[in-house]
Amino acid sequence: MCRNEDIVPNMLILRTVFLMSFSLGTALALAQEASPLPAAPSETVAAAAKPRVEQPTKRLNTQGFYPLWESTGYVQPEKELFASTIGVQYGFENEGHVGVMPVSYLYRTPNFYVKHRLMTDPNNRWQLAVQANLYYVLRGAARSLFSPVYTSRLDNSDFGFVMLPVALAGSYALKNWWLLHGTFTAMGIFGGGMQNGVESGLSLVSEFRAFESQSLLLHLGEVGFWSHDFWYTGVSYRYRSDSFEFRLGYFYRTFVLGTQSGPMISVGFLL
Amino acid sequence: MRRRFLFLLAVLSLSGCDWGQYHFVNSIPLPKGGPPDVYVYIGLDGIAHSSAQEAVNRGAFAAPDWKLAKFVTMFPGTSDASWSRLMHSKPIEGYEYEYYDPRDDSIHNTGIVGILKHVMPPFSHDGGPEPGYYKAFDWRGEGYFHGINGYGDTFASAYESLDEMFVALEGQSRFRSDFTAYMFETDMLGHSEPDQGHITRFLVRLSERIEVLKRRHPDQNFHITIMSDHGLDFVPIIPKEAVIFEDEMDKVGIEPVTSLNGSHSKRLFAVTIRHVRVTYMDLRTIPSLVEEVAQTAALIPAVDVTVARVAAPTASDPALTQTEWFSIWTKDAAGTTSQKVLTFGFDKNTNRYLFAPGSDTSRFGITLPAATGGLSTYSAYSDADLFQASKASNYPDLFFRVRTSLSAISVQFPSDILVSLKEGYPSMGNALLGGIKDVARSGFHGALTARGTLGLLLTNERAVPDTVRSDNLLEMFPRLKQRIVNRGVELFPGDAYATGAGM
Repeated sequence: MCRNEDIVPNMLILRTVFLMSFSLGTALALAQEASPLPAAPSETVAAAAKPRVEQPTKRLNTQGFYPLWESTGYVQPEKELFASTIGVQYGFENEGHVGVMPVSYLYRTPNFYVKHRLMTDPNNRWQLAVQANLYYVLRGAARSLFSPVYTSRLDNSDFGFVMLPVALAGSYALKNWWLLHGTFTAMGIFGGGMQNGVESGLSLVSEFRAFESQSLLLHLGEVGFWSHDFWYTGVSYRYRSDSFEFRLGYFYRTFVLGTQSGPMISVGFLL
Repeated sequence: MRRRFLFLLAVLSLSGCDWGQYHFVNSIPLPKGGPPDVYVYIGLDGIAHSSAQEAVNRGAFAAPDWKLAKFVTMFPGTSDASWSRLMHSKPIEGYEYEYYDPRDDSIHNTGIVGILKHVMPPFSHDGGPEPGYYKAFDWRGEGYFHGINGYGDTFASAYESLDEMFVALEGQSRFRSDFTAYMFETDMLGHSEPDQGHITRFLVRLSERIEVLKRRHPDQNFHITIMSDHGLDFVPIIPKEAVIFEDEMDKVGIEPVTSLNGSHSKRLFAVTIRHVRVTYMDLRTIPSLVEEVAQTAALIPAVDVTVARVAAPTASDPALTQTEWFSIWTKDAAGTTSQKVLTFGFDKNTNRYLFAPGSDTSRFGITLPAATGGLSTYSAYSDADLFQASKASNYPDLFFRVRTSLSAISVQFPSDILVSLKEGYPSMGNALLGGIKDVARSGFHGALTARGTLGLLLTNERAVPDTVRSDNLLEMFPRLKQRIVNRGVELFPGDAYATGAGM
């Protein structure tokens, strides 16, 4: 291992992970037979030029993985209840879904979200949706982590506040094995010791699909832009069968003064 | 198989709760600004004063803003006991995770069990086997695998911790006027790297990062204090391997045992606490054997001195009823005989140390100051005077440190006999799985001597004398005391006679 402390070790790891992930993802995708697009509306619908999704596959990537700043253009199909650790959501009329982030409730953050499909490409290449989340971050939530080896840079020991991120999210299928998910978020923050205002962020996720049920995803995001706060990057793996989803990833968040990193995991079931 | 998979999934999912929330709360944009004055206290494990001085020589922590003091830490210089003493947190059982409990006459957390507690992450703020001082710190880790990373790849982990700590510091200083942090990798850097250059460069980077923090927040004044819990001698192992102390005891006629009440094959016997690779040993024996075991153990070639409590020299003297007595043993130049080289008393009523007329402290490079009176036939010296007389010697603050090492301060069960090993002759300790601990070959701490004793105290908060007794940290920095109380640390009294000297 390089022993020069002038090189930030995180960056070395980061570059290695990225190179390996791109190589692996591309190789996996090229090695397999073409599989159907995950979000494809029926041919009948496309032929009739009706941009309405009738019965999308149950393997849609309907949730962003990195919290707060990521989403996708897909919505939960009608009357489906998908319960995962990053969101329990119910689809309505093939137009959208409503849900909550259950784990956040354990951390003193009641929340609710709604997502609505805006547009679908007749040729099934892209889909656009808008999502709004409402969080009430109760007093002390930032310090409610179970283990003291995880620390928050936020300290709301003596105040609660509201967050209302509204996101415009789109998913685009470049190839049947390669999808891009982009999200622009404007987040309103109100109350307590926070500064009332709106912060913005942009995320991009490159999803390489392989063997129909598996994906390798590369994540990149910027928060703050002209008033730069942090950028993040990460890599994750997603397994999705008709009734089960498992995600595991690792993310880096880089601020001017330092970097945070850590894994993420989620488990979900289609009920 | 399916059951195992589900179990693994459940464990991962539970772990994932904190993983997800960690990303969630740290991705919330923060307000600008913050309190005008922020008081920051950073504990760096095992950084020697000499390393800090070298960093200062290279332009870090520039005067007059910063002041660097020698931080005289407790004997034996071992992290958990020393941090517990610094922070006045709940005393730990012994000086290490592995300890002897006289109540059941047995050693607890022996071998790998005790070692693994160093890397076992805590899963709650109030549970687990951790010493209480950890609770004093707002930032003290960067994930469940922090301990493993820190021992496995210390270098990378140290800079990763620096990164994460500054993110927490910059963020939390928008909301609060105080912040505390602790890093343990610096100790391992000293144990494992071939010279102190890596630690010096780490301190230089820390200094640079602090300057960036200040530049980014010109509207805030950061009053920062950095302290360590012990020094480091930077003397690599001199013999081929570290000392297996039990073997050495056996050679001089002391049987190493695991309990005192069992049957013993030798007349002299003692329980030894092995645990980690340090330059001290903790021996327990029955009261009637203490002096003889201490004197005999001093014959071991690796031993510099041994110390123990002894009976008052003139027990019938009513003037001495409020005194405690201590002796120090060492061997002669030829190494063939050992003897008691110094005995001193401590008068609780007056906070003065008592020496028999003609006591020779030259063995320790200390010249006794003028006596401030006497008790019975003994000359009395004030604690402050002795601190001044000994602070620049190779045995800084010798008398206070010997006395308190054998008292129930920051440890519940103090030793009967403490052995200070020569520099370069560390005890082997227990090895981690895979021999990871064996990377500790380049420098050690624990002994009475200066290099392993003198930590650093760097501050731009207040003026400090050139040498500070570490027991007085909280008295000197009341905002630190207030912060750790606010964090829920229950404060325990330290030595009642510590204040007044070295502060």
